[in-house]
Amino acid sequence: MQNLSINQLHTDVSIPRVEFNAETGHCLLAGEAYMEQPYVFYKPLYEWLNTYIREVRKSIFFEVRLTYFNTSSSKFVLDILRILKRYEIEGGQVELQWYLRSIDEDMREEIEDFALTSGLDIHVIDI
Amino acid sequence: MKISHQHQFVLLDYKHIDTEVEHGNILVSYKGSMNHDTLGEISRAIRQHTNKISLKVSRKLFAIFIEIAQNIAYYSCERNYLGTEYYDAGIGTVIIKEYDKFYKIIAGNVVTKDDADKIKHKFAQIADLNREELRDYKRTLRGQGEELNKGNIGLLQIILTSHNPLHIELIPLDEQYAFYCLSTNVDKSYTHTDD
Repeated sequence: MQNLSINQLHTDVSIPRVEFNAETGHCLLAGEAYMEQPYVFYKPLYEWLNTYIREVRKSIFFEVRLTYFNTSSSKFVLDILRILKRYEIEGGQVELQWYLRSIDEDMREEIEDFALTSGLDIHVIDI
Repeated sequence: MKISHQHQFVLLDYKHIDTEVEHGNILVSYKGSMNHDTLGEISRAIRQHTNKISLKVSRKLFAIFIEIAQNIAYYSCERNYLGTEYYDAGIGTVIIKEYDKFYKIIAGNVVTKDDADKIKHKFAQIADLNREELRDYKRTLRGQGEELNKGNIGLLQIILTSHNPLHIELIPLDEQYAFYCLSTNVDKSYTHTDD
């Protein structure tokens, strides 16, 4: 299974950096997300995760370093968390860490809301 | 849609949406196509100016601007077609003004009468909710994936981000169209010591 890398050079500030590693199960989502066509952006992320869960079936360590996402993107982020939660229910090992600037109370609320809606434990790490 | 000169005048005459037009320093005043490039340029201007005051204020203004700008881009009835889909974006007005104690963000665009009725209905549903009720409603809508592309969560998010009331106004233009204005404030009370 291939790794997934998007926007490594940060050429588009409205798209987050994505580094999904199929060997280690380490998945990084970092930066800001307010792209014009969120479905086009997030579709390969869903596909990668679903393939990993179906074929690799090892643990997933998901690291989120998003500093901003608009409301359109938030629905897609929630869908990622739901994929992870489903894997956990099926017996997969999932750990999700969300790095948060301690000043960002708005983002803290978003994370709380994501945890409530998805049912996934989100470990918040203040930076 | 073809906009008459009368409608264009309404778009330009932002006294309709800003009764304190003679006060405050204008940080952003833009009327035109809200394409991806324009959005990027205005975002940079907002950040460069407000980062000096407070990162919190800067992030709030940026977040609210993105929501209202993308709302204009997707849903304004008045559109520019400049030959490519890339530049097919809705036209609207965005004004950000700086006062002693807060920033005021004002946005406006043309909507159909049907959409105006829907906006009024949506706003009536959320106008009296407290913060926890707003969050609960947002979780419900997002959890259902309901009508995300209709801007429902966007309105909720603007209120939650600004921590201030949202004002909306729908000014009839003719039998088909209305001018949709919204405004809110972001307090400057967050300083670098909060950051």
